Parts: sequence; C-alpha cells; structure tokens
Amino acid sequence: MFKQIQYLIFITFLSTLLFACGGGGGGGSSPSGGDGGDITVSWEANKETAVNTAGGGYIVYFSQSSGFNPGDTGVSSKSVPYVSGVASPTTTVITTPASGTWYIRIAAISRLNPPGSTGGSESVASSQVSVNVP
Amino acid sequence: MKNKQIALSLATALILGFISIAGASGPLPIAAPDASQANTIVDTGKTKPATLSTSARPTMVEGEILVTFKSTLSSSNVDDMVNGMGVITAKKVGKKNVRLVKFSGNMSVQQAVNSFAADSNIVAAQPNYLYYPNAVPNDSSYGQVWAHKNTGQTITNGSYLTNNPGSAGSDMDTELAWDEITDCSAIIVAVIDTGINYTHQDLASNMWTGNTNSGWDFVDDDNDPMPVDGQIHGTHVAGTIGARGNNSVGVTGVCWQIQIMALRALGSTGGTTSGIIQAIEFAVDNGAHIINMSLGGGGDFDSLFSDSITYARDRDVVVVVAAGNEANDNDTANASWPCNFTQDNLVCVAALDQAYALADFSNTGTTSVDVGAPGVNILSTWPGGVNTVRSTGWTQSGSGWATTDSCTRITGSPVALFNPINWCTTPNSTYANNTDSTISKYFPLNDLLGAEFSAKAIINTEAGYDFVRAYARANGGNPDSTTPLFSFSGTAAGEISFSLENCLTRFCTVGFRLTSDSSVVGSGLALFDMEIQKIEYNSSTYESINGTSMASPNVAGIAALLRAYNPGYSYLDTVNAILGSGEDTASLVGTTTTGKAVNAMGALSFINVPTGVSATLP
Repeated sequence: MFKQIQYLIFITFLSTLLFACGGGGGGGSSPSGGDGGDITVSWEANKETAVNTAGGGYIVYFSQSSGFNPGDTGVSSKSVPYVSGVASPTTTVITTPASGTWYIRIAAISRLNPPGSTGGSESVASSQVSVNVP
Repeated sequence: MKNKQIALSLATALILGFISIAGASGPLPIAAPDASQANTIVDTGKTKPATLSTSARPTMVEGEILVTFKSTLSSSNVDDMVNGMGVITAKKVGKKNVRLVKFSGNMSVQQAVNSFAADSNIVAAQPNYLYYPNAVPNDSSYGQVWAHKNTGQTITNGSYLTNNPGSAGSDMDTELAWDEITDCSAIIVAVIDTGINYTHQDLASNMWTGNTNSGWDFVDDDNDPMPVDGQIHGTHVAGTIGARGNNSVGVTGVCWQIQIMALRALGSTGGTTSGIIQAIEFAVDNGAHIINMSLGGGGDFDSLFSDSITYARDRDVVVVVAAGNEANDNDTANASWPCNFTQDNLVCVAALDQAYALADFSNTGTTSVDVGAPGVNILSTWPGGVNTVRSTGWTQSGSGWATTDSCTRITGSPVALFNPINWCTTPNSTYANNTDSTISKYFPLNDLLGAEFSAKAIINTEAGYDFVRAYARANGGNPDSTTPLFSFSGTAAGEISFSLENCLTRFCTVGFRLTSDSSVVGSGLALFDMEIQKIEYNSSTYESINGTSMASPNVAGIAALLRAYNPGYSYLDTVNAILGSGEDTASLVGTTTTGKAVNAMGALSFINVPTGVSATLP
C-alpha cells in the first residue's frame, strides 16, 4: 500500500513537469484572432509574515483600461493565495478573455485584521504594468 | 482481515480525492507553492475573491486531523491500520487511541474528517484546532498601564490631572497585537538616555547581553551605564519598551522579551553631541535594530548629530525620538533636535493623554512631528527608592556656626544650621568681618544610586564680597578645598539643592563655608529642613511620570514588535508600517504629519504595496 502511494507521488511529479511544459504551449496556442491569451505575471515578494502564511497572499487585477482601480466595474482578478513553504507565490499565469493591451496591478493580502475590522486587510495595489496580448 | 479492507477503502478515498482535485485545475506538486492552482475570476469586478480568506487567524491546522480509534483495539493494531492508510505520518497523541494524522495537503481537513469518520473502527475524527494565547499578561500592575488597554481606569498617583480617567479604547490595541507576537528577543533596542538600572526585576532578563553591563556609559566613559547620579529617566523609558511581560510582577513592556542596550549619554545636567553621537555609533556597530532617544535640544542644526542619524539609517536602524515638552510648534523658530532632523529612518513622537487629547506640554509640528502615543501617567520601572535622611550633628571647624532642632524663628523641627551663632535667638545679629569658617558632616553614601542635598535657605551677606559656599569631598576630610557645588553672595530666601553624585562613598563630607572681607557684614545664613535624599538601588520600584519621553518608547516598542514579527523588514518598511497604520486622532490633525496615534495591531496588519511587477507573454 505504501509503495502505491510513493508511486502515485512520482506520477504526480511527472505530470507536473509535463504540465509545466504544456502550459507554455497552451498560451501559445491561443487563437490569434482576438480571443485573448496567457500572461505571466511576477512581482517582488512582500516581507510581511502575515502575507506569507496561510490566509495571506496576493491578488492580480487586470483590465484593458489604463489607470484602472481594483474596484472598477469590469476589472478581472485572480487570487494567488499562500500555499506552503516560507512565502506566498510571486508569479502566476493569468488568462485574458480578449486580445489587446492589458494593464495589470498586484495587491497583497494580510491574514491579520486591522483593529475594529473583520474584513481583512488588502494593500494598496501596485503601480500598473502593461502587456499586449496578440 | 476486515481491518485491511477498511484500510484499503480509506486509502482509495484518499487517492480518489487527490486525483479529482488535481484533475480539476492541473496537477500539483505536493507541498510546493504554485500559483497555477488559484482560480481565475474573470470580469467580476470583485476586489476580494472569496477563495482568499482574510478573516482572522486560522482556526485549524491544514493537512492534519485527530483520529480516535475504538478503545478495544490495541495500540499495535491501530499502528498497523494507520500504516496501511497511506497517510504521511500518524503520531500517537495522549493515552487513548488517538492519532495525529498528517495527510496530503491537497485534501481539505473536512474531506479527511469525512473519510476517516466513515470507518467503523474509528470513533471520531476531528480537525486539529488552533488555539492562541489570550495575551493578557499576569504582571501585577498591568491594569495601570493604560497605553496597552485603556478601560477608563484611573491611574493611581498620576500627576497629570486632565483626563484621568480617560476614554476606554484610547490605547495602542497592544493586546490584539500580543495575540500574534509578544517575543521580540531577536531585536536589540538601544536606549540612549540617563542610564538604566539593569538589575531591576522587570528589566534584568531583558537586557542586552553583548557586554558585561549591557551597554556603555558615555558620561563617565566607562563600561557601566548604571545611573550613578540617581537620574530615573532611562530606567523608566526602558520599562515602557520592554519590561518583562507575564512574569507576575510590575508592569508590561510593549515587548515581553527583548534585548535592551543601555547607553548612558545624559547626566544630571543633560548630555552633549559628543556623548550622543558616540552612543549612536555604539548602538549601530553593536547590532541595534532600533534606537530610542527620549531627549531633545533647541540649538542650531547639529550636523554631527544629523550625520549620526544618517549613519544609523545607512545601516538599517530605526530611530525613534521625542517631540519635546515645551508645548512649542517645532516647525517655527523653536526647532527641537533630533525631532526636526529629516532622515526617513527617524520617527518623532508627540504625547497623548488618557483620552487621546494632546498632552498640554507636548510639542507639535506638521512637518516635524510624525505621530502621537500615550505619554501621561505612564507607569514604568524606576531605578531605586528614595530614602530621605534629616541630620544634625555637624562639626564646626571655625567660628560662628551652630546647629539646632529648635529655633524660635522657624516653626516645627527645623534641623537647622546657621551662622552667626545667635541667628535663632537674636534676629539682628551679624557674622564677623574677616570670617572664614566651615561646618561639615560625614555621610555614608556608599552603595547608592545617587544622592542629593536639599535645604531651605535664608541668606544675607555683603553682595560680591561675603560668600556662602557648599562643598562635598568624596573620601572625608575638610571639604573646602574642593570645587564648590553651591556659591552665593547677597540676599535670598528659597530652596537650595545639589547633587552628590561624585561623593557616593563611605565617608562623603558635606560642608558649608562662610567667608567675609574686612568691612560690611550681614545677618548671615540659616539652612533648615536639611535633607540628604539617598537614592538606593532596588529592583522593585515603579513610578508614573509624564512626557514625550514616555511616548517615544511606546513607538520604539511597536517598531521592535514589527521587526520581530517581520524579520525581513527594513528600517523603511518598519517606519512605513508605523506611520501608515495609526489610528486617526483629532488632536493630532494639524499638529503632526500623519494625524495618527500609533497602533500596535494596525502596524502588524499593515501591508506594504507590492513592487517589481512584470508581465510577459509566456
């Protein structure tokens, strides 16, 4: 039984490798006629312990409007929560629903509530970067 | 045999769960961060996806459950069973058949509980819940430290009378922060001040251990920062930052454990650029993360002092300073240094009372003073107790002196000495021309923290020609060969006092000398209510006092909490968190740069804005 589990883990590892390779191909295989595609987004790690433990992490906001705010209508987002280890992830792949120029901002999430709040704690979003999805 | 079948079915459930989750969002490596598992939410306009809970701290340990097997099963049976279940580890917990089971992080706790609970050999399965300290320390006087928890309590013997009691909730929310962290023992805070009684019961175990006496004395230029002049200030400041928490006695610092470095740069008459910049360099070079300077001066821009703040900044050290107690606006001609220095590692602190009104003595400045913090009726550690000695029995070596405990011109029991000899009985009597006589007395002042002579005085001598002087000589003998500690010629009535800090020996001789020239005499002098205040070392005294000096260490303590909780924090991250997270406070609007009172929990939950964002096509 134990051997079977080990085998399973090995298979998982292999398939992870395959996925990592295939992921790039997936982005490249997006239709080029305006249906969007993948963007790899990376950022510097925040130093707060409460961002880099369970309940913490990041949110990637993306929009086709330059100068957008996270709360604006039509802004897309992807959560990138802490999983394990010493830090939350600092890279992710987002998939845009359309081609064109996309603007991206990152906010960090703390697992701690400020005094008098139960709504959690989200940082001010970073300055925006842009990328053109063919 | 039956057990084995069950084990197999459980293992199958685990495997199925694993595969189905993996299949939903792509394969996952075990226990390794991979952002690809996060769901993409498109075009919802949501600012906070539900998958990323930011509610309070976690309630259970992920990847673990506690499983109780039937009591009829032997321990080895249970071991066999769990070994067959494909879990990562299963550790026996307690005396019953309970196992702490660790499983793959890809199954939720609830899924695991459901899977195990279905097994007929298992009585119960439950999450491994998380518990946190109800971080209220047991220190006996904690309830008086309103900065941490203001319940509207009255501070006993508080000398600041306004808003005592104040407003419940006007505090730094330190108890909330203590739920996350109380231990700053990785952090060194240097207290540049009047020295610290590092033997105090609430400080001894929290002192820096980098050298023999936990610091340095830049006043006397030796390795002992004990406040030998009896100055209480530094010891009080140190206790606010880091009086040992939860040790059953006394008060509680912002940090319960910490390393306090004692740097004595202020004596009984203050300090100098020379001493202070040496202390800063010592702190920085010996690993201090934070420097507290509850001190100030109003001279011109001090470039060497400024350079040393920069030196600290360039080595990642936060500097917290007091705004000053002159009720001035520091932004006008009344600049207060170091508060008015502009380096970004420097935080300048105003004092708030118990209702978060600005303390009536606190300096302000919309460009120089950054934040407010509790600074009145602050109870903290005290270097020793005062033992007042009233003494007669003075030795006359010249003419004209007398001592008495009964004098018709002074009510009560005056403990007086006077010259001329009939000062008490004959009001119009005078001393003689060409007098030069001394009266003195030995005082045992060894093993003291400090000592001060004080008396009420009535003096009348020929101004400019006839003098009354006081002396103290450390090792006995006639004191009048030493430099006078007090010198007066003319007419006055009032209190005199002088420090005996250089006379703390077994045979300290205190003496008075009257000299007159060959013409014109006066009615001489009478000293009464004579006292030697002996400040005796002890490790168990606490007092409450007021000042921006008391506000600054509250902020230094929060800086230490921040750097302990977030070890990667730079000086700038720390300062940003303090300034960016405070509590909006009306009395600080228009008087400080932020308009905020510092808040320990706010600072811990503060998040810096992510930087270094890049986006590329795969």
